[in-house]
Amino acid sequence: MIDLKLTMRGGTFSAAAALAVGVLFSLPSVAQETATPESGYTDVNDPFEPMNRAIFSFNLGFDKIILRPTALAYRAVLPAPARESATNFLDNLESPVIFLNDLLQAKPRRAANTLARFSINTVIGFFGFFDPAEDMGLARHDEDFAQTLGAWGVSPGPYLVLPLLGPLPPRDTIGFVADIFTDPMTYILREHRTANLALYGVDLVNEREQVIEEFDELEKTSVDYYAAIRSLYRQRMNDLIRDGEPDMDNLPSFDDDEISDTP
Amino acid sequence: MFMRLNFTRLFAATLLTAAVLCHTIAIAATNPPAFIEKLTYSALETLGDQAIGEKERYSKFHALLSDNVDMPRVGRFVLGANWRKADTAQQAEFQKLYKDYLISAYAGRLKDYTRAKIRIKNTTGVGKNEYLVSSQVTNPNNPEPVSVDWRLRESEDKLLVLDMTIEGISMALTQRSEFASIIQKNGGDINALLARMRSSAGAVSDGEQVSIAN
Repeated sequence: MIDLKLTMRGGTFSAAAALAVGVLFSLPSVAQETATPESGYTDVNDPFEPMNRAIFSFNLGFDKIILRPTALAYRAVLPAPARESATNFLDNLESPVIFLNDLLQAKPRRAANTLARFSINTVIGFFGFFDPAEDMGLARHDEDFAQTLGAWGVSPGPYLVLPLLGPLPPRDTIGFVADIFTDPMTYILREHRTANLALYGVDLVNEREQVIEEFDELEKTSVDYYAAIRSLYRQRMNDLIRDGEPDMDNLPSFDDDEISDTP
Repeated sequence: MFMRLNFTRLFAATLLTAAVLCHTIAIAATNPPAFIEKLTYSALETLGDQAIGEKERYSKFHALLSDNVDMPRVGRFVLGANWRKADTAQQAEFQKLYKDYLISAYAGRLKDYTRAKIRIKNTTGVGKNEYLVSSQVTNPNNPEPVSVDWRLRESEDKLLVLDMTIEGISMALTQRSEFASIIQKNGGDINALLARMRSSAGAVSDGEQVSIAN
C-alpha cells in the first residue's frame, strides 16, 4: 500500500547528479554491526536538515503542480485493468535487477523465484503485461542495490533529499545509480533516449497513481510532514532490507523507564 | 483396596483435567490473535456503519480506542523525552488531544478499508508480557495484501494494543519522530505541538468530522 520507493528511475542527467552527490558525501562507512534501532528509527541523523527541508518543499511543489495532477489524469484515462497491466509490464522489466540483487544477497530461492517469474510472465504473460506467475503461487518481491548494501551492513548515512528524486541518503543514492547501470534497459534503449525517458516517466506516474490517497491522508494528518516522510522512508527501507520480517531484536521499548531519550 | 486406589486415581485425574481446562481458559482469556480479529472487525464495522451519525461514530470509535489501546502508555511513548520535560498540565492536555488526533488520523486512513479481510499469520512473544501478532490485510479493491503487525501488551489478564506496524512502518515511531521534530523546530516548546494538535483535533471533538480527517 504505502510504497515509498517513489524514486524516478533515472535519466542521464539525474544519474549524473546522483553520482556527483554520492561522491560528494563519500562512501558510507561499513557499519560494525547491522542496523540498530538508533540508526533505523530514532536517531534523526539529518545534519543537512535546512537544505533537505528546502528541497523537500521544492519536490512537494513539483508534485502538486505536475506529478499528482498527471497521476490523476492517468487514472482518469486508463481503466484499472490497463493500469494493472502497465504495472505488471514495468515490474517485469525490473526482474533482471531484482535477480542480480537476489544473487548478491546470496538468496538462491528468491533468485529462482525471480527467474521463474520473469520467464513465465514474459512468455505466457505476453511480454509481462499479465502476471500468470502470481496465480501459480510465485509472489513478486522487490530488491535493488540499496537493499543489497543494507543487507551487507552498510549504514544509510545522513538523511538526504534530492531534487525530483526524493529521499536518497548516500547508501541509497549509490544503490540507485548502480541499479541504472545494471539495468539491461539502459543498454537496450541506449540509442533511444526519448523512449528510455518516457519509460521512466510512465513508471513514475504509474507508481504515483497507486499512492495518491495514502499520501493525501498522510499530509493532511501529519503535524510535521517532512519528519513523517523521513521516518517513513527509513522504516520502509529497513523493512525492505529485512524482506518484511519484523526486527524482533530491535523493537522499541514501551516500558516507561526505557523510553528513549532520543527523539 | 483396589477400588479405593482407582477412586484416588480417578479423583486425581479429574483434578488434573480441571486444572488443565482452567489453564486453557485462562490462556483463552488473553488470546492475542482472537483479540486482534475481534478488534479490527469492530473498528471496521464502526467506520462502515451507514446507520449511525458522525457523532455516534466518533463516540463509538473513542470507546473502542479507550478499551483496547493502552492510550496513556502509547501517549508517553510518542512524546518520548519530551514527556518528562512537560509539566503535569501539559501532560494531561497532550493525553487528551492525542486520543482525538489518533481518531482523526486513523478514521480517515481506514475508511477505505471497511470491507477489508484480516488473516492472522503468527503470534510471537516479546519479553515477558508482550506479543507481536503478524497479519495480512486484504482489501477487495487491491490485489496486494498489506502486512500489518500488532504489538500487544498483557496486563491483569487483559490485552491492550501498543503499536501497529504497516509494511514495516510503525505508527508509534513515526508519530514520535514527528512530535519531536515539531517541538524541536519551536525551540523545545511543547505548547507548539499542543497548539498544532488542538487545531487538527478541534473538528473531531465537535463530532463533525470523523470519516473526513482534517
